[in-house]
Amino acid sequence: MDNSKIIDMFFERSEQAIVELSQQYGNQAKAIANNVLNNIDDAEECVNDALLSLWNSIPPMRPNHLQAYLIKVTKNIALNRLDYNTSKKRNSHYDIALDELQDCIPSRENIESKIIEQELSKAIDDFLGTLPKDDRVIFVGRYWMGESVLEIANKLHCSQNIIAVKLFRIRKRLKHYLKKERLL
Amino acid sequence: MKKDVISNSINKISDEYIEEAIDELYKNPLDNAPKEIVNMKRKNFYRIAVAMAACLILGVGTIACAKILFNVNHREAKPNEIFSIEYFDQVTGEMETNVWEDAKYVMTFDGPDECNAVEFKEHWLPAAPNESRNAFQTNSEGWRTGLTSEFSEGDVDESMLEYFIEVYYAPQFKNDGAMLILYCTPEEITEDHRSNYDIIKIRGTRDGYKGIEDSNFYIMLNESAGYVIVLSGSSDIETLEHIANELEIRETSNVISSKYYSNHVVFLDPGRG
Repeated sequence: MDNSKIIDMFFERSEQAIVELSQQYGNQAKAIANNVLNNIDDAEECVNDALLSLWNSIPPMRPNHLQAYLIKVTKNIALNRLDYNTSKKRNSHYDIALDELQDCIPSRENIESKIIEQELSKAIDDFLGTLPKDDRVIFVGRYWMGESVLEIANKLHCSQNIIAVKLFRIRKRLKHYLKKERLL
Repeated sequence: MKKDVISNSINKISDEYIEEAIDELYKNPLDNAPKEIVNMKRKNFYRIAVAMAACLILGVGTIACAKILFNVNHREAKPNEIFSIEYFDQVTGEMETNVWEDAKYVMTFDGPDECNAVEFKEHWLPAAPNESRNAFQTNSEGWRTGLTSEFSEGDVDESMLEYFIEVYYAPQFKNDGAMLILYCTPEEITEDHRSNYDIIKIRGTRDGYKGIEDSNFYIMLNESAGYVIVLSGSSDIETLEHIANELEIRETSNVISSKYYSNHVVFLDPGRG
């Protein structure tokens, strides 16, 4: 089904929108969540949470790239869950209370990190725009989706060495680009 | 830089790049169905005939047709002719270069930028294959991308290097690519043509490497489909030919493109490297 039709169904508050979206992109979203969490049950829960999140956000939002939007939301939920699962601080009630405060009183370090993040994020996005499509796919597959070199090689029908070589060259170019942008 | 800063920055890349990558990496993951079964002995004759007829009907002519075919040029290496490959060294994490100046025989190719991958099933072998050699893939129905009797560990004798079957593609040899024989000295080279294959038979000798005196190559070039199947090993040419005659070969829907190859030089000597 066409993405715009699925979005229309969201706007009509038809629950079939969830079914269609899940059928169309659910497995891709689950695969990427699983790359983050390495746990298929948790990954499935992340997809369900993401579908609920989309149900709550569309409308009013009308995403231009529905597939990417679902997968992005799923990945963010997976990252949060990973953070939650691995954070030792969570053992302490006091730390949880501090976490709540941290949201409204960010440290100077956090503010700097956010600025760096914003600049870096824009630079990486611009850098991706300079790459040929094949290289961009490999970069996004490895560093955004968390696919292994072997998985990418299998999906693109080429050897691991070729992917490893390409990633090495892309990283080198990225470093050069970031230096030029004075971010390194 | 902190991992979470990098992670957060990467996370914010444009949706269109994410969608592009998903489309490429997740398109029909199960789509490995065969496109066409190629019968070595008869079927491709008709394919070539149909292709030639289509070209004539379109008024393109046979010269234009010939341009897209996969052609081989084979010759002795020139004195001091240099071949090199670049590879990523997993240990050092750096790009490394290997250079060879002592190739004995060189095959270069002209052909299309893209072609379909092929798989084969063997119906006769002189010795059991080494199924544990994981460089080659075999699907659940027994279709393979390569096969060898070579054992990767322990004592190696002649019987263990009886045959290798490998598949190469025209796009692999773009950008001055070549197929090399490095360690075997070709003694007798004959050409043949059988159904849709140009055949090159090379009888060679080696300097007793691991007790092996003979090293032979039976090379099958499919000029219309853009692939070459190489049977090599210590088995004599007749045995390699027998294996070749009993191969069932099919094209798959997987497209092989020159852009996927960072190295365009391959070496044929079995048991080395």
